[in-house]
Amino acid sequence: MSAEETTQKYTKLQGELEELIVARQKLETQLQENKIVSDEFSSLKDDATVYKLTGGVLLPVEQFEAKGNVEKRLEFIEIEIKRCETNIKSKQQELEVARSELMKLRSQQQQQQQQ
Amino acid sequence: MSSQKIDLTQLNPEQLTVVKQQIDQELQHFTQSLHALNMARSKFKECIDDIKTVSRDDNANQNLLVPLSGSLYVSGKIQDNKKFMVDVGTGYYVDKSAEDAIQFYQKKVDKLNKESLQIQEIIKEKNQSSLAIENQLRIAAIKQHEQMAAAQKS
Repeated sequence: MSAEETTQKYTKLQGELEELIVARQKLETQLQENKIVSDEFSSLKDDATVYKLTGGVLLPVEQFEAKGNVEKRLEFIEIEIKRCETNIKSKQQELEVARSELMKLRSQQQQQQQQ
Repeated sequence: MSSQKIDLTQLNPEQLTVVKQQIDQELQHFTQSLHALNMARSKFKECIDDIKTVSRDDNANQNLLVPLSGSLYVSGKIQDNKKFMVDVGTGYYVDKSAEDAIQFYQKKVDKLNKESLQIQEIIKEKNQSSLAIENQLRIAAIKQHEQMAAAQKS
């Protein structure tokens, strides 16, 4: 592979890693928000009415249903975070490989120029 | 954040500049976060004040204008000025009494206060690091200058 191609691959990988990190941050925000809601639900009085905003209207929902929903969402987000983190790790490894390849090519080039 | 200790005197000017840039970036990030936190806090405080105003007894049968759009209103009346619907996040709303609603928002304000203090602490620390590095850079520059002057003389 030429040095140019390797550089291109490296920048592409960098961009992909950045995208993954942004996705991870977004998931974290969702996790925190859902945690707050879950906390609030757990301290709710039994007779409190809960509504869910669906489209443009508020629909009354059963408390246990709302609680279950948020719990399920929390589980889902946690799984997504784990998946995202493994992706980030493998991407970092790929990037590391590309980086060392790039360094090798650069030093080769320098040697050739010196000769 | 990184808690490893770096001896500044061991770094060369190039490295110092890079570290300083990094710290300044972090500093900017934290300053932005602090700003966002303070905005959120004042919004929640506004909510508390609104609940207090609306739930006052002399406001029980108060007429008010209900906004239908940004510039269109109809007149309305509050049915029950002791009952509020609170947005708890992710699209869920809960009916609450005035006291419970105030408590809900107060809890949020307290939490934000705590976090704001934490961030202020971090910002102070980062500021100190930034200043220390700047100092070190200056010392390094003077040293280089002296060395160059000495080299010219000899």
